[in-house]
Amino acid sequence: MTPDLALSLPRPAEHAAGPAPFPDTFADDSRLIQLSIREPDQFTQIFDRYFSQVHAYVARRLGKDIADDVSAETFLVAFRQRAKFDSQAGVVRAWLYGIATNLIRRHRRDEVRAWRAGAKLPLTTSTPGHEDRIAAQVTAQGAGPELAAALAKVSDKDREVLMLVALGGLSYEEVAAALGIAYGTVCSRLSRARRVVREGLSHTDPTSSEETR
Amino acid sequence: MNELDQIRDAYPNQPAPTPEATQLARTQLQDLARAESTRRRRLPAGFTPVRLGIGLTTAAATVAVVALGVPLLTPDADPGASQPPAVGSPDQSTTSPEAPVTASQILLVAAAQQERAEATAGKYFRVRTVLSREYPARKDGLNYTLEELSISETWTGKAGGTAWNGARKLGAHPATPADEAKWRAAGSPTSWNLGPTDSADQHDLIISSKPGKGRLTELKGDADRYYALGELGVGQAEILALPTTPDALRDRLLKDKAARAAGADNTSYLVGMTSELLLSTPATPKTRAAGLRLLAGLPGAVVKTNVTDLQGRTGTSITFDFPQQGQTIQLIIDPKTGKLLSSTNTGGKNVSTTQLASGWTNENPTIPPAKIR
Repeated sequence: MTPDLALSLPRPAEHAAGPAPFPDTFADDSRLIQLSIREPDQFTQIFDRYFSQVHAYVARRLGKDIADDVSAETFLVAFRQRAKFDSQAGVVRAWLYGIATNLIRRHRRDEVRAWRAGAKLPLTTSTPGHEDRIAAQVTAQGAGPELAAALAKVSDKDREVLMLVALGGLSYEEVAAALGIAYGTVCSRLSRARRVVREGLSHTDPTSSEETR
Repeated sequence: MNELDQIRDAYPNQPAPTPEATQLARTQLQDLARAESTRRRRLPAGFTPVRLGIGLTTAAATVAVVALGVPLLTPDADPGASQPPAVGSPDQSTTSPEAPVTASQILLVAAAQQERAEATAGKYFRVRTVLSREYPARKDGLNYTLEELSISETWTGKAGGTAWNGARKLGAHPATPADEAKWRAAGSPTSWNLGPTDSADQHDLIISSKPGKGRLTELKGDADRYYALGELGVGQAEILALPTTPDALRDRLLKDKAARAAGADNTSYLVGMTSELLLSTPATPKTRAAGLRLLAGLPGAVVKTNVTDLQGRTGTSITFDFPQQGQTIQLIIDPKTGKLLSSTNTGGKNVSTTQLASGWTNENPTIPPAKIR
């Protein structure tokens, strides 16, 4: 069966300790989502506002072809979960990135394998498709196998924070809302992820750092 | 360069989605939104589970329902009317108050019914399908939704014969009472120009409240071909030779999955293909029974009583919802006979397709009449 995507919903309680409220401009998004519960068609406006952003993030993570499908599915999942969206808790953008993150996680295992492949680490299974291209891309971009190896060492949870900040350009507040974790947790995960990558890149003995997953 | 910048460089910005990809994603979302509006309207508000007339312990329930057959489906039916009580039926004195009947129990009863049915034959195997499609209508700032129904009948002849398809539009009408109010405010139009289609010549799409003339087309090469199975359909001989146990049928259906829907999960695939098999092929009673037992073993079914199908027949519905696929499959079973009346597949481009009961006929192919029959 399919994974439970509901886990991606922002959990307001944990976020309550976070910083300043989100700007008022986002209140309109929340109203649209409320409205769409009775008038499903209204949700299309959310699509029109955010599809290109979500696509841009997913495309950087998974490549353009996969991004078409994953971003489309992000909005389908969001639509189905719209009744659970908590307008008090998070901005719509963060909520969508949270859903996209969970869909990206479906590719996670293969992605990690590909990183390992890029880093010439032992492979257990062959991984066709976009993950190979990403691995090739990581190497081709001049970051070298070291970055691939370093990223493979970051735990899944920490990596999502790192990627949302580095590639998604989300604020820490938004990351907290997207992943349903506290603001402080975002900070600690990000700093741990950065440290692991840094250490990986400075040629620390690759066998000494524990696999975190 | 810090590690965040290195990551950004390693994962550079990608080209924006093409207009086609964006439009496709948008259409999928709109289809899902419309399907939800449709579902909400079509499914009855009541959510009452069927109740057993006589209570059973959970352990005994499944076996007993199979043994007793029909009467358990209709609390007010006379258990003695259609057949004698089975040997293993529970002692009335040990029963508790009403217990809900599950989807799998209902399907198992229907399976037992199907198994006893006579195999039939005829000149053509006829399948009736009703398509429901929704369109947005706009006039003077009034937006409302139209639902257009059309009927399609496929007549599949035997090997060496021929096959036909008859189709007719049944007309469009406002989808909901709210839509109807707006439609009246817009002057109660009876035809609508919905603007250019995305076809090559971009001709305008015009739909009407009146039924169309219909057409009958010979399907060359489609005699003795059933598309519920196989990569490119299979012949009657193969349909008749299908397994008669749920496990073997399951394996047989899954054999085609890689070619037909590699991405689907097994449950949604099996529900879809089994309902297709039940309503659009001349499978034997034993294979049908196996299909219903296979469905009975699949998780997630929801039961509702007093559901009306498109022909106005009342039955008990069993609904499988696959939110990941944006698809819902609803089977409606006649509670008195255990016969499968229709299956409705909601989701995807057509919004909803309903297969009404099918069977062998000795009639000759004709254009379908302008109402659902």
